[in-house]
Amino acid sequence: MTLAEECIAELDNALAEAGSDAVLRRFFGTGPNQTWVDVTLRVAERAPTEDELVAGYSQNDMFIVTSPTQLINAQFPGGQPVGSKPAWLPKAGTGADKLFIFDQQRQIELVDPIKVDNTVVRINLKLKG
Amino acid sequence: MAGTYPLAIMSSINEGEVVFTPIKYLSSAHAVTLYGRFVYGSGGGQLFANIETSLDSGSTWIPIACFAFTTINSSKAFNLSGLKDQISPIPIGALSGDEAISGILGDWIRARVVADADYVNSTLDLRMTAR
Repeated sequence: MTLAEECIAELDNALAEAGSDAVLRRFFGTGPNQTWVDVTLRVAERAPTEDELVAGYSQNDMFIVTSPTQLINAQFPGGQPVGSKPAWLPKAGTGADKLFIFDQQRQIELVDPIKVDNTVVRINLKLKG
Repeated sequence: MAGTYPLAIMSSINEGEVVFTPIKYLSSAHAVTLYGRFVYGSGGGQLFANIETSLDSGSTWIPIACFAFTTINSSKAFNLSGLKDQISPIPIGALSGDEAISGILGDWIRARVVADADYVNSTLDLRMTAR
């Protein structure tokens, strides 16, 4: 097992034991023609600390840690035009993905993939409530 | 692996052919249900959504279903079994609109969409449940 595989396995075990389910939704199109693709992720969540609140974060913000495993297993977001950039990581900014956690829809503000030897082993997300 | 997978989602449909990356590792799937949903805006003419399977990791592709859409909203589905006997060889070739062949199911499946004109504000959503 490579170091990256070990990191992912450890994170998956921790999330299986102590994490929660959340649904990542990617939107395609706009208005009445809009459609989407969902994938269920295992996540660990936390609210901003006191220091982070002082630094400008809001109480509605949320920090998420998730694993690449469910995204890769689901082959998220499905078939893409051949030659297009792979887009399985959650998207922030314009046209951002949404995360449904504890029955609340939240916008992804920041995506921070952690890599070990060129392999994504963990994904940190910052959400706006 | 069993599950539901998007094969192609297009919110911008232009004249020509678009080939989509395949869904892989479906060796444990004995059947697939294919669902095509087309929401029409304006423009366009004829749209064919071909579903193809590969038994050689994407070197060659066998058409197994073809959805045909025109200029109206439409939703259609096929169910294809990989366990159905085919004791007479099936010629491999393009399928006509709204046609499918059952009994041939590889472990890779992809969509190939062909439009004969530009569609405006229209959406094509192709999904598959493998089980």
